[in-house]
Amino acid sequence: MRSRFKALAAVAAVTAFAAGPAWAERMVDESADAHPRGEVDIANTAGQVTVTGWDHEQVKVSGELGAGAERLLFEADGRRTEIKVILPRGSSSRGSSDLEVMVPKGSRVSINGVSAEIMIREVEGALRLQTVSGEIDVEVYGEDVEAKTVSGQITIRGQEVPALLVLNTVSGDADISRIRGELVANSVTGDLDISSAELARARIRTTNGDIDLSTGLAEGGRVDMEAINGDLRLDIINDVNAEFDIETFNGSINNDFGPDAEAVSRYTPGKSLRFTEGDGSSRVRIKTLNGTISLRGR
Amino acid sequence: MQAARRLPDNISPRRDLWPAIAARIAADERQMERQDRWRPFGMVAAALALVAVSSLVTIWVTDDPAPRVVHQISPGGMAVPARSAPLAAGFGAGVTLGPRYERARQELTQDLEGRLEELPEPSRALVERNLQQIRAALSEINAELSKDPNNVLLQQLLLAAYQDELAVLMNVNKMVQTLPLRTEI
Repeated sequence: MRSRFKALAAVAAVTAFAAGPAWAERMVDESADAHPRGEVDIANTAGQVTVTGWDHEQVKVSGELGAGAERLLFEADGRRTEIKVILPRGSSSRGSSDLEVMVPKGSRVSINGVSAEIMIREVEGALRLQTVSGEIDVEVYGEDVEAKTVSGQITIRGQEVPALLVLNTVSGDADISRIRGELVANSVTGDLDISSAELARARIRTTNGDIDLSTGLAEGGRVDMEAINGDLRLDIINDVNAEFDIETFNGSINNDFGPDAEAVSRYTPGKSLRFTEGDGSSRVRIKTLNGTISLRGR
Repeated sequence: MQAARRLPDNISPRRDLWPAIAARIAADERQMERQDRWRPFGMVAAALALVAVSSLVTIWVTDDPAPRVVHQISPGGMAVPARSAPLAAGFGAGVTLGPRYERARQELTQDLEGRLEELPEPSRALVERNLQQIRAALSEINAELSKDPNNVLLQQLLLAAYQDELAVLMNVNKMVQTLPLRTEI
């Protein structure tokens, strides 16, 4: 009797070992037909999400579910595909899962994460990205892009194609290059480093971070930069045809062209600089409380 | 009839009663004066007793302890309030942004306080430190604007800083709301 019990226990143990613990790391590989300009919604709490556009009308996800993840939800219904790493209810583990997702190039992609890193390549549809502390690294084509993070670094590389780009970061830095079109960027303490061949509209604000913008101004373009304690620097890389309205309450203004800044009054330390260069078709407005403003032109 | 006519016109009392009556009237007035003097004190005492009793009843019914300011040690070693309440939204000396704005700001702040628990500890501390930086900037600009109320630059920066504060509150609130933290099926 005792030996039979031992044999049963051994079989059970081997079976359990072979099956693996319920939430051990495991591979996933799923695919489904998708609309060429459909929506793909992805949620992964921690780990990495890499999305790449391809020429097939199919969404394919592969990768590894982390220990702590319960399973992968993969649902496609023609125009919308949902991919979600499911964590067990009540679990304190956030599970680190790595997903590689292939989507039709024209897809609109939305990604939510907590500490997940997000990387997107060759996706030409609109992007809506959010991660609390993970990094966001994106290629931007002609569609709108919205990226939000608390502390993650944002890296955006454009394709010199006009698009609307909206970025919100609390303390994460942003490095943005080769963009065109319209840019709205806000940070509290993160530094914003932006280079563009030409911008039609830009509104960039920070509380205590620094802003470094190097751009050409489109005809009739508008650039608005504000900071409380950060330093603001604008390099205009094409011919300068703009009206400038620049003011600091307690900082200094360095101007590479045009007139020098003047004191606002005899009683305050503020400086202001208002002038027109070229035909004045664009407008540049830069304001700060305590920061230094540097203006450079070609 | 003749007997009636013989009666005297006035009958004087055997003794003078007035001094005793006057003494009693004076004693009553003194007592009333004393009572009037103590009446306000009595009313105040009654009001205080009423307030005290109603406060005790309220505390007993709501069982709501007084709010505590929790402090934590920041990574930099400096003590910072874990839940820093925003100061009243002023706009220079004697000007406020009004009750509707205050209400919206307070609601967002309260919502965020509840939801911050969902964030990992480093992100939570970071959001709070950054909100403190915005609020420090608001205080600084407000102080300058109080000294120089007509300064347009300060007015612009202050309004934008208030908008930044609301934007951070709203964005982080929305972010935390949409976090894929737990299974939803």
